[in-house]
Amino acid sequence: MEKQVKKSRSSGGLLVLLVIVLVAAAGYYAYTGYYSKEGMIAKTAAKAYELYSSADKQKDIRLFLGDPDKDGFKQYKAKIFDTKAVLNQVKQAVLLLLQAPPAGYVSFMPQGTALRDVYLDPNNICYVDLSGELSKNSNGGSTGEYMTAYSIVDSICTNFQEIKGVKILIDGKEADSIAGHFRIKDVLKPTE
Amino acid sequence: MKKLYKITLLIFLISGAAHAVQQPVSVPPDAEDNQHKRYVVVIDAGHGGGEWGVNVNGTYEKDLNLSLAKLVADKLQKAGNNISVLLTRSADTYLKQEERAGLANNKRADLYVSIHCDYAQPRVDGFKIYYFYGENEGPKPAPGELTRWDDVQYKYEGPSEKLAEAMDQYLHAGLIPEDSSDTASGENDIVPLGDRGTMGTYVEPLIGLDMPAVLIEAGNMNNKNNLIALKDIKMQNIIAYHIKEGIVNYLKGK
Repeated sequence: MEKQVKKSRSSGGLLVLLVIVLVAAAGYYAYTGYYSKEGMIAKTAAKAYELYSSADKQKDIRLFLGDPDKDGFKQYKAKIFDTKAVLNQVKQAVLLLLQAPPAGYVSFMPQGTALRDVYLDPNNICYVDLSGELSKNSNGGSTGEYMTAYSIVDSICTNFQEIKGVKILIDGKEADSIAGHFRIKDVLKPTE
Repeated sequence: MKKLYKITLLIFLISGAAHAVQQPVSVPPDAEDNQHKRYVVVIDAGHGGGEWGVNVNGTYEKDLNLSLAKLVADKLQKAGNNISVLLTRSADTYLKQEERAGLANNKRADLYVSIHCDYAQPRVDGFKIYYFYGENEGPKPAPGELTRWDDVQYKYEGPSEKLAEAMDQYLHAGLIPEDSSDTASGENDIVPLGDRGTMGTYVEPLIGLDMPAVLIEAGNMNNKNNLIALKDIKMQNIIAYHIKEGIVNYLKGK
């Protein structure tokens, strides 16, 4: 009899443990799902409805991607929608930089980096707010961080001449550097 | 009274004569300073402790940086009595940039060389030397205001560029120093890495340094041959030898 009680207590304990594990798992998926969903919304919005309308024509832009053979940029001709709001065009360009690169090109964007937002101040300085993966997943040293920063800056300033410089934010805040090698505290001007 | 007058005259004549004797042998102050100047050089091994930098299959950048930094420091120490060398770290420890810069600034170092290895495209071969260069020319403090510590490197853009060029010259494979005094050790050899040149940009590990400073990316850890060279102690000696040569020759020209 005593044995049976013990068994039932132990089954009860297992049940509680199972519930805790299930709740924790649900919480985890809800949490991570929320963030990945945020990233998806930004991308979907760019592609589908928020950043352009079907009436917008397409235009060519030059993206500054990596050259697999040398230490420098290789320009890639891409298409975006020619929306009225320049900021929407800038967002489209940055989202293209965050996608997997075409064959023969290299992306300098650390894996998992998502675009949070883009702003423009009255002095035509563009603020590009990227997720924390920009610094967490950076593995390039001085050269890699430099290429990451100027891939964004040159892609924006070359295509949108009214933009005078770019300030990179991480998770909505100013940061000293991307990952300890390249300072992003200052407004960056295009290299060209 | 006459006696007092004679003594005063005698003292005056003696001091005048002594002054006259000193004049012809005196060295202009600047030249004297250069002859006897002791230079303080700080060699910084990038990363350390829990911050390992690049990691290629368990080969950590922090370890390669430390090994190279120690070799450069050792060779510099042997290069002459007028050079004092300090390492920011001599073990696997992590230091913040403020601590690295603070050490060099407190010792009033004449120059600072930070040693790193980077991770570029696999086909990118060689070393690259960075110095701080800001497009915005840095904030200009009002009269009586102090320069912010993290803006101080703006002052050294010119000298840092010269230091980078001196180091590039001596690391360049085609420019082997003619002085063969070090050849017995086999160190005066061709640098086994390509030359990616020098570049001025916003280099975070040089922030806060109140002296000419450069960061050398000694090789590309994502390039198979570079990684083999960076891990080989003989190759490390060759690289360190040429870094030392660049530093010594920059100091000679100061």
